[in-house]
Amino acid sequence: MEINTELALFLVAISSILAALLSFIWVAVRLGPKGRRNGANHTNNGELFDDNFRNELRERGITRFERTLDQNATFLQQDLHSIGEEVTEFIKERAGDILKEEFSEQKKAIATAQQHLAQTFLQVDSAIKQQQKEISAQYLKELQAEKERRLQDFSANMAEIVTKHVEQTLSTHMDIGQQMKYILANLEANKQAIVEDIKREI
Amino acid sequence: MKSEPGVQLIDAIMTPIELGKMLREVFTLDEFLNAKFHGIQSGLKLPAISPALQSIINAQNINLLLPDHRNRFKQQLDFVRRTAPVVQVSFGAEPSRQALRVLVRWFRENGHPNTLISVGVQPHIAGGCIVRTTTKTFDFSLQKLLQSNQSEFAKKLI
Repeated sequence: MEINTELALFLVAISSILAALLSFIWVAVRLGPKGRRNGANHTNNGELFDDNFRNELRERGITRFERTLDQNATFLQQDLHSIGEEVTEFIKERAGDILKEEFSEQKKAIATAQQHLAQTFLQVDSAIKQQQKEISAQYLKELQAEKERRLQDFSANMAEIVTKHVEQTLSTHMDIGQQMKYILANLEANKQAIVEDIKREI
Repeated sequence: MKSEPGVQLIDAIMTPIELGKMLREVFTLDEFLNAKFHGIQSGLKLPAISPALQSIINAQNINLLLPDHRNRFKQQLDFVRRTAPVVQVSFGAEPSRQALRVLVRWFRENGHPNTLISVGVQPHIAGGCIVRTTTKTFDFSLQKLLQSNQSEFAKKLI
């Protein structure tokens, strides 16, 4: 509705400009060389208007035409300015609505993405924890197995290793006299078996 | 008991080798005195008597210059050599005579009064000893001690 009104105003302004232009052309034709010739003949030779009057009319016509042009230009400028403002306002409103819709959709998309991301993070976190637990259990299992393997290896060869070490370390420094207490204690512990075997030999 | 009464080895005679040396010493002395008795002049002096032999003839109240005493003593020593029980004892290092004397006394007090010890050295046993009688072996070595408790020892070490 507003657009139709503006269009009507615009058409009226154009019509008035055209009417003024046509009237100016008509006056110019009427006051042209032929008319002046006829008039001069009338003045001088019975013409109605003399040259001064014609000049005055011309000046008035020019002034009026210029004023009309200025007014129309002013009106046209005002109309254009008004239309521009309305168009700007319309675009602003429309753009605002569009932007609001876009923002709303973007917010929804972002919310969905965030939710999806959160779920993904939860799944990844859960998977990492599970894997960490499995790795930890596996590590402890392997550690225990390695410990047992080393213990078995060491147990199997421990006596030989320690004895060899003692032999290499003490060798000639090993005093049998200091071991007699241990040896006699063992002899006493096995006294019956030893004595029986000795007497059996006899 | 197969050994004759009154014949008992002193602590100085601990091994079959020492007994053999003493026996050879008595044989040498016997041959020397017999040769002199039969008028053979060898020109040699009377063989020296070792402290161990001197100790045993003093303890047994034997006069080796008398042929009967010598013969009987020879027979007794030979009998002991053939019949005395020998216990083999292996050590990680060469034992001192004092340590061996303690061991011999224990065997002679608890087993047979003329028990002899055959000493061996096996460095791999490190400490203690291994006793071998006629039919049995008694391992009192450090190696055996560690082996018998190796599981507990290994746990403490690891």
